[in-house]
Amino acid sequence: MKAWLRHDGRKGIRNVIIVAYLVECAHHVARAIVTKADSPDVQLIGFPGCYPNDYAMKIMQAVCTHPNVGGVLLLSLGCEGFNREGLANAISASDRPVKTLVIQQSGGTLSTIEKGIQALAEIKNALTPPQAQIAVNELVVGTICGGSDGTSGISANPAVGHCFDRLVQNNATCIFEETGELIGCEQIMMERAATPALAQEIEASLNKAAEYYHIMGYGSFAPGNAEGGLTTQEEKSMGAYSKSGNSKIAGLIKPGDIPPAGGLYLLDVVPDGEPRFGFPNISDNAEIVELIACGAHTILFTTGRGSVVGSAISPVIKICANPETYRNLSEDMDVNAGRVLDGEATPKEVGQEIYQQVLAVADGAQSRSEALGHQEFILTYKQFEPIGPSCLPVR
Amino acid sequence: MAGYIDSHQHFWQLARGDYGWLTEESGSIYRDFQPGDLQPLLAEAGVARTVVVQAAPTAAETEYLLELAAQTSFVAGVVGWVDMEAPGAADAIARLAGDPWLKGIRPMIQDIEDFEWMLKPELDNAFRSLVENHLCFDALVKPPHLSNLLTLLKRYPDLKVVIDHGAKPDIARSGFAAWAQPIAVLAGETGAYCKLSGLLTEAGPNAGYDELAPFMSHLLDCFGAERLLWGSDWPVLNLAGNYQQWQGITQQFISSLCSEAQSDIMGGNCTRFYNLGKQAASTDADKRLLLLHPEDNIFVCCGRIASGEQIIMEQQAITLSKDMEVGHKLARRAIARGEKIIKYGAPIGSAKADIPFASHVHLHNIKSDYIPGHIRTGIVDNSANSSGEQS
Repeated sequence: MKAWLRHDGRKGIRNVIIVAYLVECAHHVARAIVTKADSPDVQLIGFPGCYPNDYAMKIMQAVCTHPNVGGVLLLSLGCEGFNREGLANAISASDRPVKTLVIQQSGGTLSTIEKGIQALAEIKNALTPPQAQIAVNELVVGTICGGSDGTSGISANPAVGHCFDRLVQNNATCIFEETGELIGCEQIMMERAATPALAQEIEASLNKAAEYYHIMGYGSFAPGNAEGGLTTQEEKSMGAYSKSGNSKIAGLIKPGDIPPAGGLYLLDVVPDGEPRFGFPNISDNAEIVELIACGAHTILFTTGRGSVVGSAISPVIKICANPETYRNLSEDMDVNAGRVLDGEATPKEVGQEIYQQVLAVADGAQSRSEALGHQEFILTYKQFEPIGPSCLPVR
Repeated sequence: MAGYIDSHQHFWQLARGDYGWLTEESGSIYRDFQPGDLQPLLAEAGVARTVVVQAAPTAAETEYLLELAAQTSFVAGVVGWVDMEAPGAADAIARLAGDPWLKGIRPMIQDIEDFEWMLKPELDNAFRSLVENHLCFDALVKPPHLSNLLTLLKRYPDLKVVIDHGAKPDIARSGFAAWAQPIAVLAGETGAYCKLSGLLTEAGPNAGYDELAPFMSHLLDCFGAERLLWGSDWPVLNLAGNYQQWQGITQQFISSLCSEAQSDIMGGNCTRFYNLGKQAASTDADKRLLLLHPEDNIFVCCGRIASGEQIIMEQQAITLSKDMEVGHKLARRAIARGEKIIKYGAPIGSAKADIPFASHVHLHNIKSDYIPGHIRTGIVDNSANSSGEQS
């Protein structure tokens, strides 16, 4: 599988140019530049807030130096709180071409758009062709579920679990998250932890999630779940948890942390401290961005009711749990896990299909959402403490 | 259908290119052997499931077998290979253990020149990892290896070991004496299991029941019916006979045993030893019954099943007394009050009443084990009460 070798030794399966606005006030100009560039490899991301935030800085830095990114154009209004020099320096230090345009210093909207197009051309000239090969053990794969229904936990999620098992066996890096949806699985997750100290960290992160969701007034087990055959909180959580497969949990990371070696990692997405900025993740793409910030080359997205989103930077592979939904939305779906419910395949067989799909996408094949032009991106305010020393046991 | 389990068979695809021992001189077995070749033989012999064993000393072949296992409904488990001497062997074993279909590891000891190999201190991490990860060890040994194997098993008393092919006595050249004593000592001093397989190959092409009987009797005396696993060693078996013939010989041999002993040798011991779980062969079970994990004690309905409809579950015909909707659960076996309900291989709650085989497992007979007094318990209990009457 051909790949782009980056300065830090990681390899990318795409070579996109990022146009990033650093405050909502620069969003229009950034979007106009991307629209004019009219290339699937020139993609828009950004952070809307005017006030600085360590988390937003960490994530922007992580996604701008993601192995799938070849170069970056930063769009600043000029007076926002974002540390644009710090970000540009970090990108530059990663040996990527980076340009910064400050609208207040560039003659306004039209003039900045024009300069932006020029800057893109310069960045494009500085890009290198793919010269490396990427092996399965260098891949980082994330998973999330969105638009779930009663079928998710018995078809698509266990299938992704089988795929994750295969990937981890081949020493790839796999990341699952949704600590808020895993409440009730504490015991079994702790048993799977690589060390007892890591087990304690996992338990603490789930307790934090339970507390956070409680304060937000967010209920998880609803009467509709029982009609779908579910009986207990732990059963519902196991449905989401089954995406993680059966491998040992090698570590606990937070958004923007890069796993140090192959294995299965839990991404703690629930903010630390008192709830401050609202729901932990306001929509599916917020979690996808966090997985990408941890280095994910591609995202396995399971859905029952039928999400259509993709993402900037890393292709999203859609696994549809419900055969009805698949028939309805097949143009948006990469894998039909509904075949399990039609009695045509086992979750393990669908897991094999997903595994092959991951390899194909890593080798350059477009996922459905990617081909359809989905490049969603959302980043909002959050706060995290750094992970403790027990979270990444030395192996 | 008897539902026997073949504890030892192989698949290979020559083009994969890592079967060093398999050459044109191997004769009739120098060709591809795939699940489609074995399927009709199993059907004829009443064998429901098999354990496929590695045939090449490479991680790639184990990957290949795990993939075949995923695509092949009759394969219940895989015995694979790892480089046990490599510094990362323990991690490699732990990773492999993550695959629920991977049941054991087999180095090709018979092909290793150094008779002391299995006792090398470099293998310590690998053996410990096998024990920690509850994986089995297939000992592919010949009679001269048995004394070292005894030392090894005493070193790792918790290692689950099965001796392949009765340790390959040289039946063709009257090798009874050289084999009988060391195998008896090993059986007597350890808890090792032994495969009743491969003997026809050791006896040569013209042998039959009479030549094999003393060897089979000795194995039965040494290990008892509770530690013998029947296996075919197909397709290597084809060098000296065929599937039907070998099964006939072994059936004749065990016919004098009680039915419990027979079913132990023909499958029960294999299920217990390799911890196969009790998957019904998918050809028998209703396709609407989904088994998410081999250790589950419930099936999930992945299609609607109407009241009064007769379905096959665990090789038994049952009739449901109520409609079952998609996503609901049926007991795969009788579950006693207080027992855990296992789904995805994990407990999802406890039975709050005795649950008979094949009955609906829902809010009326299962309760959450989730930490009492936890902030979410209230929500769970409310929903349990509000829809409990409907079930």
